[in-house]
Amino acid sequence: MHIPDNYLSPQTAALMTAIMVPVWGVSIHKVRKQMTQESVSKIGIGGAYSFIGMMFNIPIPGGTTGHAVGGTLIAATLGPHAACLAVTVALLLQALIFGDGGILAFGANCFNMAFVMPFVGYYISKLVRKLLKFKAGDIVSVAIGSYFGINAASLMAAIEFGVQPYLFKDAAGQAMYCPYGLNVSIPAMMIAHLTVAGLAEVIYTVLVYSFLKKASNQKFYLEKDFSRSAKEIGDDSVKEKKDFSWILLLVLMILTPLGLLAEGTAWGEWGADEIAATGAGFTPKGMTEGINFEAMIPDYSMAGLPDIAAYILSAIIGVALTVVIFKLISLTHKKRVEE
Amino acid sequence: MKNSPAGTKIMKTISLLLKNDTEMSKIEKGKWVILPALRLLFVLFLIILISLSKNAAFVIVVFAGLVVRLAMLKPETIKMVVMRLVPASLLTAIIMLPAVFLGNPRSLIVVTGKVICSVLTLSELNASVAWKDLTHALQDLHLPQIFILTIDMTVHFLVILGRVSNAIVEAVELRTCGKKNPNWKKAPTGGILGTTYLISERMSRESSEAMVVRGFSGEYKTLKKHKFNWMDLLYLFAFVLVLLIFIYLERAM
Repeated sequence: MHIPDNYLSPQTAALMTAIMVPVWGVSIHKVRKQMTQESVSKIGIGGAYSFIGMMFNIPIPGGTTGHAVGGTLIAATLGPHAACLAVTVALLLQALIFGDGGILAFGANCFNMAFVMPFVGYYISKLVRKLLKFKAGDIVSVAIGSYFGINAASLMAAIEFGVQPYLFKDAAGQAMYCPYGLNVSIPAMMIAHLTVAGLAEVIYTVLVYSFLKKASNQKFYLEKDFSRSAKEIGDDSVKEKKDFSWILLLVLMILTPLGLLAEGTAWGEWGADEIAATGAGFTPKGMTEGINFEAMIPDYSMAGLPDIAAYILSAIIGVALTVVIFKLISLTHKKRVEE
Repeated sequence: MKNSPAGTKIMKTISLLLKNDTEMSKIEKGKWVILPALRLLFVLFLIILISLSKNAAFVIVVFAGLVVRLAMLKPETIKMVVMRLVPASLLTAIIMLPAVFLGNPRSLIVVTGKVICSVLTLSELNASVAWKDLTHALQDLHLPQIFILTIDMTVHFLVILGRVSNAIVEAVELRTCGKKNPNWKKAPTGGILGTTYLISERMSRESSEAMVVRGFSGEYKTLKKHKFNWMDLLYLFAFVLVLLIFIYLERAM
């Protein structure tokens, strides 16, 4: 679901970024008000899980691939605003260091995966949770919420792709950016996410949420309205229990090369040299003359290193940098939230 | 020397930087987790390999390891490390910028990456090992005692004299409050440095007399006993692993 550069017009990219600016502002404000220094550090772990989730590529019938995002997972554990910031940082690192997702398209990617997904996923989870009052009700509600979340995000991405040929054409009448209209982009994205990618998101979310519930010592955001004593989000409510949330992260990092097994490129992530062969019949002008950002570790691979080693190394760098960034951000927060 | 208010600002900045260093020295006390000599050797070994490497892959591998180590530190320590890292990296990137215009942007990334890794590894050593443990490390590495004594005294007095000059600068600033006489505002940097020098001369004489009185013969003795444990073994393993990765990547290129 990472939109590369030159698939969206600069105008679309600018509009999506402009929409995200107040979203980021509100998220930063809410997180600053609600979360302490220690819990902001935990957003880094959430961002790390999102980063890792996006590295597990899953083959989709038709020759493309999809992946989980983990936005609803973070929203359920730390809140939708924290999830917005966590996924934003993960996407930023992916775009700058690994070339996964465009630089100009960063705003659009954040809109889909850092805004639409966590908020839709969270509020649907909350709605379902009110109806499911049994013990594992939170896990089921998060599973349902994550499914709706990822599909909402993919619908947004499909619309962003699909409007390009109608709005931006060259003198010859050919599309300048994404060449596929809504009649192609929506079925292509939605079929993949309603089936395989959606299932992947649900499995990933349930797996990590269940593990964190057992291994972590914090009270989850989703449960704060459903438990007797609503404490500070992300606070150590059970002091005796140690936090082992990093163990699953370590295991997932080692398993990331499984994502290399899926061949094929995700829909809408083809390179300029590949797009003509996908059925468009031509390479849009915006792609041949657009920006060409060279990332440091493009496509998570490095010359001289086997693909598996490079993939694991990329996972390590992404996770570690996400944690470092949020630890630095936590210094701007108070140690305790005022009652 | 021309009088300048900027001189007091420069002195204050230097004093603040030295003050930050003393804050950093308040780290792990008590038993050593890993032998400091081993840590110091590993850092020097790593810096040498980083400088010798001809490809970006090795630099990225080392960077990955260092960032993981950084992520394990406390937020305040991370901030201190990053604050040291940013100026060095920016300066290197600016110096290497012409390479981009000459059609070789990769060399900017590689050289800046090497500087980042080198500064990061040194800063992390500084963050995790107290200065007094580093002098133990130098002793364990059988460096000449006079060498260790000189370094130790220099670092100690840098900090002490930094505090002294900071106090003098504060005193000068306080005395300029409400003063109409412009001479107070133009307190010369030379004067502050001169006063600091006189104080340092008196301090060094007193330190020398104190050492003689206490029977210090110039020898540094390691009083802490450290048993070789699995963490030290892990460090030795890291030595070998880094070397193997270096050789493998150099051959692959």
